[in-house]
Amino acid sequence: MLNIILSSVSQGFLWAVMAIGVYIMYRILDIADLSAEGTFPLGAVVAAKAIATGLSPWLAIALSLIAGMITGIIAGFIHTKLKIPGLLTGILVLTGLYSVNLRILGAPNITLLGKETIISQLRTIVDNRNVAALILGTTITLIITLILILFLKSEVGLALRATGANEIMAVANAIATDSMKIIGYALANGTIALAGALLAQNYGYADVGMGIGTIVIGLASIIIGERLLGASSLLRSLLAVVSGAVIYRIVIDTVLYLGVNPQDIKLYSAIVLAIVLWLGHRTKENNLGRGKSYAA
Amino acid sequence: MLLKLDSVKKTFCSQTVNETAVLADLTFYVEEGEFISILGSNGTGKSTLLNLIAGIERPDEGEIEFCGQNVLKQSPRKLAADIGRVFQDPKSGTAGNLSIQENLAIASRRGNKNTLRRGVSPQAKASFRDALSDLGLGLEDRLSTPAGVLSGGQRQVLTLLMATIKKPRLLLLDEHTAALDPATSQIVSEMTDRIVKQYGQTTLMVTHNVDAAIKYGSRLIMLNRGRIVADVRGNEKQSLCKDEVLALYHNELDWE
Repeated sequence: MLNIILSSVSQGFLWAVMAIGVYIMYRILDIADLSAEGTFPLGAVVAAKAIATGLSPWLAIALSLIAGMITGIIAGFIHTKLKIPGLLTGILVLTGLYSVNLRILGAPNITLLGKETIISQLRTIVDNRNVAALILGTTITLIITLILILFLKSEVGLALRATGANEIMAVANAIATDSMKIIGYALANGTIALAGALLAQNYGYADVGMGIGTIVIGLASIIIGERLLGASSLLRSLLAVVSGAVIYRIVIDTVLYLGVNPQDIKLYSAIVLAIVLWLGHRTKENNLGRGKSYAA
Repeated sequence: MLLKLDSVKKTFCSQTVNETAVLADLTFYVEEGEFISILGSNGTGKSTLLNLIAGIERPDEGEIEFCGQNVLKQSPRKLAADIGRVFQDPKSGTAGNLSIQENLAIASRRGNKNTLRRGVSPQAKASFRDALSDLGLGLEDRLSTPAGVLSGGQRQVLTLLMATIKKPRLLLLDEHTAALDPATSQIVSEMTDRIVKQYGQTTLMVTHNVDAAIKYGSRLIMLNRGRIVADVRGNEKQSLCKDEVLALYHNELDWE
């Protein structure tokens, strides 16, 4: 039982990396981007292919990060320079990436059984594979959170946040909004691909279909986290995303534990997100109602 | 000459039944240091005029020259380095989920290259605190508060400070007190007048409030149907009273 919980939590931290990427797009840049559905498996297949051909698992995640960032730059270019709306940009990118991912992998899926991964390296130190995954997940999440906060508080970071928060203000203050959006796309998709690389190593395989539902997981993590911790500061909202990702994983694993057919899990994850969104909407309305009665 | 508009025309929905000439053959020059109130009722192209000057919109015909350069050949971003703006909607001028000091940091680096250095340096913070305490609204103690939680009036004052913090060549105020309650509107207007006078800031203030147009500014331009119907400056402007302005306005209507 303890091992099941440990497994959930450790996976949650790895998924949190992906959720942080989605957070950058949806909350910092305020763009409804679906590229994650393509860049998450991109990161997984790049890493898996690299490891399968004998590269170091650390080099593999670096390659995934770069592949994700390049994809992000392309997506950002499509959105800003070709003036294609964010939602459509994401659809173009995820559709195009499906073929790219198949090409890279050379097969619909490959296994990393018996290959050296970060998890197998960590298991030479700790015996339990869930503890190994937890160490990896928490360390990477911590590093990414710290780097991201430092970046978002830098001069470029402020310009990026202003672009997402209020474009009229950003233009009036001579901010290069197109460049900021492209940087944001690159950061977000790089982070999401990195998560793909980590999870491929954790699960020991990569599959071109593993991107389906990525956005649902990312958004559910963000919204669950914000419901619980709020978003009063950058640090707090990033902690919210991370804890949201962990809680979401526990919820999904509980559903599986109760004996749901794993085939149906995407349906349940969609239902979970729908419920979370509905509850969020309801409490918001309640808050407004309360505000009004105070004013009266 | 800081700003020149020559025979500027702007039409919306051209070649349709809804065609409206927002600005019809507009010509006027702005000298350095002038504080011009631009008065006109709704739909007389006042906001369009400011957007044309800032390079956000393009005229159909005519020339606009700012600091000796053709505005049409410059990007809004490049122009923004020399132009401060305050908008009618208090939400437009500040980024709501950035703190007061972060908003000010962005404004104070307007036109500079952004690097990976810390966005709000301790020195900058100290200077923001000074600038805010001059305004006397107590905002200097709330530097880390998100701008989004401020009231409309506070947000407009913050925007005004942001717009002028880098001493722009030109300040554009687009009915910046129209969305505020009368008392707050009064405070923001007084503060605007003080800042403009303090720095000799060249300013174009668009308004539909006759009293404000008379009270503030060294020159008054009245627009009607996209044309200048009155342009009063100097002593004549100082001695202008409301009846005269309304008379000018109604004469124009009769004439139409």
